[in-house]
Amino acid sequence: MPSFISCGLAVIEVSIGASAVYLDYCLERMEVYRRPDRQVSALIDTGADATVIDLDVLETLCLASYDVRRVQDFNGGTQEYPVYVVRLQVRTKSGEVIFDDANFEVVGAPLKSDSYQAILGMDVLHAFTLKFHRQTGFVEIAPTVR
Amino acid sequence: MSAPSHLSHELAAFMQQRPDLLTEHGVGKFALFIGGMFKGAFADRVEALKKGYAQGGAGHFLVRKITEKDELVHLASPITSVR
Repeated sequence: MPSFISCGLAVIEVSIGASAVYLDYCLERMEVYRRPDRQVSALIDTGADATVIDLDVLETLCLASYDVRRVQDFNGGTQEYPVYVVRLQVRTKSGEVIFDDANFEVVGAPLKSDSYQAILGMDVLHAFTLKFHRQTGFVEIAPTVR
Repeated sequence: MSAPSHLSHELAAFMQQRPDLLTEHGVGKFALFIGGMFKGAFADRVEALKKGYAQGGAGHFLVRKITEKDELVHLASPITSVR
């Protein structure tokens, strides 16, 4: 069953939470990780090599970066941003999971948009079939048929 | 935004040792640095992260893929748009 949303921009909902490797680390230290997963709007960017999450979202999840990556956006300017590992899930509106990676690498950056808090790059989009209805602004997602 | 300051020692050590890492481990492995010290090269990123958490703790280690040049991420959208 395909899904979803949007109002002009190609945006879908995704779930972001602590990675499996971080949860294992907490468990070994007998610490309970209490931050709930965040549901955020994500812009579909077929011109993006990687997935970017707003730094405010990553901060609420209390995650720490382990690397940096130089990013060039559409303006051509480049800047370094921190890299995190998260759990990233994408579901259709009917609840079917079409992407679930418990240790997924993302770049953290200040996105400052009212419309989305994440940018989904081709590292995620390869798992979907996407249909964008220009007149209604709706985006449909479905698992890629292999 | 510049690189997180908490990784400055690790990043400096990686850059300094990159030629040796390339020679000894080749392209594609994941190097782990804690406190500016090289702790090992791993075939899998998650294995390197596990070791980093275990030995350094969250926020105190660098895991970087060994490459000849730094990878550049391209976006077709703006990083910062107007609210």
